[in-house]
This record gives sequence, C-alpha cells and structure tokens, in this order.
Amino acid sequence: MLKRTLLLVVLAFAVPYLANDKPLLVSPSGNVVFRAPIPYGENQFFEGALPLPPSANHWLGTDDRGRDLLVRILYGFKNTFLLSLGVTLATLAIALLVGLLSVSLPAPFNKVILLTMETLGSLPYFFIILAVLSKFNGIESLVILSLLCAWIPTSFLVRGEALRVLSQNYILSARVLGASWMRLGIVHILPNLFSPIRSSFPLVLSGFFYLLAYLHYLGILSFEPHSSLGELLTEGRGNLQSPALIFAPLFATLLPIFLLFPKKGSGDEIKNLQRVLLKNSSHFENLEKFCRQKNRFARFKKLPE
Amino acid sequence: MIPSYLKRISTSFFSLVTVFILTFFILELTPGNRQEFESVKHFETPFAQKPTLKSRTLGETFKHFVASVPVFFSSHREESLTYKQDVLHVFLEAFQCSLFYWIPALLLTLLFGTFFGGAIAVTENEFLRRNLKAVFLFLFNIPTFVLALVLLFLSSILFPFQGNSVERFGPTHFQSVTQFLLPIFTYLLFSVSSLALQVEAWMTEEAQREYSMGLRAKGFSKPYIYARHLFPNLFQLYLFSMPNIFRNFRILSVAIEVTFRITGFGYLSYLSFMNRDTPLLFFMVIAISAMDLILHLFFEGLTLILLNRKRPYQYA
Repeated sequence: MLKRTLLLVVLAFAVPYLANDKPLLVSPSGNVVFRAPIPYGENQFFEGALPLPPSANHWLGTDDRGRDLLVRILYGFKNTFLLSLGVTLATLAIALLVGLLSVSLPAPFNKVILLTMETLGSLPYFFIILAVLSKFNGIESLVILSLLCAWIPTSFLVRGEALRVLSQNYILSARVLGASWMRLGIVHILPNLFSPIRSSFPLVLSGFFYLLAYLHYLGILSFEPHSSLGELLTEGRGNLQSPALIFAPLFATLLPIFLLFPKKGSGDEIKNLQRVLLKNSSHFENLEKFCRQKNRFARFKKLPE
Repeated sequence: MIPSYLKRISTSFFSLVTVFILTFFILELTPGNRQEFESVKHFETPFAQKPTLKSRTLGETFKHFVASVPVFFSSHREESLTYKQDVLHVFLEAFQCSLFYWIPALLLTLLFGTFFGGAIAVTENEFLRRNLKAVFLFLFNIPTFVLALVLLFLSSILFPFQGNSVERFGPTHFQSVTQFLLPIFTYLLFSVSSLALQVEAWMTEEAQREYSMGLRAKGFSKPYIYARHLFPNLFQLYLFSMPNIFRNFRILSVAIEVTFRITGFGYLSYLSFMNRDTPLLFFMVIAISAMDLILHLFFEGLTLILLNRKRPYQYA
C-alpha cells in the first residue's frame, strides 16, 4: 500500500512536468528548449466548436470553455490529492494522540476525553462542514474540519487497539515493575498503535479526497482559478452528450480506490479492511458499547499493589 | 440493565444539548448569518453602497441564544427566510418526499443485503467469496455522487428521449419509472454492499461459536446450520444497524437529490446552506440530531429487552 501511495504522490508532483505551456528547461544560448509532453497550460483556451472532440492535439478533447481536458484532469488530481494527503496526515496524528491519551491518562481525564469524543462524534458532520466552509475557505477549512471532527472514528480504533494492548501480559509485567503511565504509553503502547493507523490510512485519505471532490461538485468549495475534479464532474453533468467530459474525470476520481485498495487475491488484506471499514462506519459501534458495558469492570480492573 | 439504559439516555440528552448550543453559535457567529442576510436585502440596487458586513459578537450571540430557545420550542417558530413558511412545515414536506425513496430502499436493502451477505458466508468457493467481497468493498467505497453520475449518464444513453438530465420531480409528479428507480438504485448500491459486508462478518463470527461448532461436529451441513440457527440470529444485527441505515440514507440523500434534482430533504439542506437560510438550517440540524438519538435509543432499548429474553442456545 505504501508503494501505491508513493506512486500517487510522485504522479501528483510530476504533473507540472507532464503538462505545462512554459518551457521546462532552456539552454543558456536559447537554442535548445525542453518542453513538457503535453505543452498546454491549465488555463489555456482554444477556439472552435466547443467542446472540441478528442484528437491528436487534445487527447481527451476540451471542456465547454475550450481548455484541454487532460491537462485540467491532471492538475485537478494534483490539487485534490496533495491537499487531502496533508489533511490526512494531520488527522491521523491527532487521532493517534487522542486515542493514546484516552487510555493512558488517569481516571477522570480519560473519561472526559471519551465523553468529548462521543459528543463530537454525534455532531451532524455535513452541516458542520457547511458551517465551517461559510467562514473559511480552502485549506483552512479542511484543517479546522480535521481538528473538529474527522479524527474521531480513527481515534476510536486507536483506543480499541490501545485497550487490547493494555491487557497484554507484558504490560502487566511492566506495571508490576513500576513503570509510570507516561512510560507505558510512549514505550510500550504507542509502537503497537500504528497497525490501526496503517489500516485506516487508505480510508481516511480516500475519504478526504472524495470529500474535496464532493464539495467542489456541489459548488461549495472552489480552487479557482485552478482546476479541481469536482468542478470537472459538474461540467460533465451538464454535458452528458460528450462521454469524454464525464468519463475521464470519473476515472481520475476513482483512481485512489483502484490504487489504494487491496488486490482481489489478497484475502487477509480484504479481511483487515472489512474489519476497519465496519468499525469506521460505526455499524458495530452500539454492539461494542453493549459488550463494553458487560465487561467494563473486568477490563479496567486495578492491579494489586 | 435499566440503570445503564437510563445512563445512556442522560448521555444522549447531554449530546443533544451540546449539539444545540454548538450549532447555534457556529451558525450565528459565521458570516452570512441572518443579520447579514437581512442587511444585504436592503442594498440590492447596484449603485447603492455595499454595507460593511459584520457578524454578531459573542455577547450579542449569547443574548440572542437566550431569547431564541423559548421561540424554538414554542408553536410560533421562526419562518424560513427563503420559503417564508414555518420551518417545521418546510422540513416535513421535504422529509416526506425523501421518505418516499427511503422506505423502498430500506426494504430492498434488507432483502438483497441479507441474500448477498449470506451467500458470501455460505459459499465454499474461495475464489467467488473473495471476489464478491472485493466487489462489495469497492462499491462501499465509491462516493455516491460518482455512482449517481454514472447512472445518470447510462440512463441518458439508454433512454435518450428523457433528455440529458432528470429534472425536478417529487412524490406526486415524477415523470417516469426510470426517474423513480435511479435514485433508489443509487441508495441500494451503497447500502446493500454495506449490509452484505456486515451480514457476512456477523455470520462468519457466529459460525465459530460453540453451538455452531457443536452442530458441525454432530454432522449437520453448513447450509442447514446457517439457515436454521444463524439466520434467525441476524435479527440482532438488524436491530443494531437500523439507525445507521437511516443515517446513511440521510447522508447519501444530499448527493443523490442534488444530482437527480429531487426536492427532498438532502436538496433542501443544500439549498438552505446556499441561501444562508439560518433558521431552517438550524432547525434541520437539531431535528436530525434528535431523530438520530431517538432512533438509537429506541433500537438499543428494543435490543436490551429482546436479548434479555433470548433463551440459551441448545444443541439439536
């Protein structure tokens, strides 16, 4: 999965070198000029009977305003993917920290954190997005969003894993030997918490990617004058008679699913992903709460001094 | 059991109050609130000088909050800024339209989700099982607006006489069966895949319990154990997932109704944001949160009663 993510990152960073109307390299004498394979800019307009159909010059044709569709898709993918990658990393860091604190801290504080997680988790997510977007726009909105709500499902996963680790024998041994809560958290529990983070990574990343595309599609968020996949999909919806205008952005939008999700042959990966997905989408949340109530006293039993 | 349920009710009530306060302050403190909306209306002429738009301060918002709470719960609620009607009336009208799609989608989800989930769990063919699961995982993760757009495009090819888009329609005036079926089919693609994955996970877990292993040891076939013993226990899963299925429908409705131009609940929430209709938006947030919590509490209570009455498993 890491290799496939890196592939997408490299693709996103390589976009300005793949499609650019300006020369990439000019020799000192000015005789030799290196140009990008697609020598068009993101906002370069072409004239004709718009939208232009696919041709040798424009491989996917142009949009209804005369801009090269392939170039716009590449730049739209780059803008959407890199922003969602940054927000994903921030979200996972917050989730890891809060999940760890909700287990490591002593009794009154961990309950306050848990209550906060449950209360924030019950907020209507989409309306919070709308409210935040009406004040902030672009990167700030997503950062605030990740600070507000997006870390909660992953932090529940991290918390579950931390509780499982906490019941292991080596943790009990460390506690008997007099390890502090800080040492237990950082040295013994934290290194084991990267497994749920690793499993959640493609989900959170693709989730933000689609959230961005969705908000652009609805017209709530905008990268103007830069391209975004959601805006291309909106244009496609208005031009259903031109298949390229809708299918090419659709394919680019589905790219993270094709690349980040496991191959069909790898059964264990699918099983892990299914487990994370079901927990992430809170379908088993109630069942877990019910079971937790029954085993609560057994799980949080104090060690004999 | 009852004390834990009462504790759950008190926690839910606390969550609802928090949602109420947080939403009010977020909506009132952000630019584009009602105060701004009303001030802009008086300066519609292009030559008039634009007013300096300013939101309420925290103190003003707090005073307004104290004044608004009795109004919210009284019978003389505020009017929607866009529709000039009682917010409850506007909300119920849109919700009724959405229910027209949600109820068939729910019934079909239970039917197909159980069938496919059970099929994946029962089948001995490893290749088929893995690939079916991969397909459902894929469908579960595709964003709904992408699915809706694909279906809209396919319908424009298959039924060109409808034009290139499905225009505004509702429960009383939808134009053809296809226009009714497309949104339901979009709901189904997501919710069936979600339920099928849950059913499969649930059945696989139940099949490893002692009573199932005992039955296998006694020589009963796998399909018999699934049909006779595991399938009735799926009722518990339905009880747990029912509020979440409705929650999913509510979330999906924005994408589906905006794409298909259905004048339902999702489209209304989208329009209320775009028009900065603060009273309507606020009422919808509170109504949705309350509905979610009541559904959760109802089904949790039902589960507690039923699980308490459940008899211990017996070997055949």
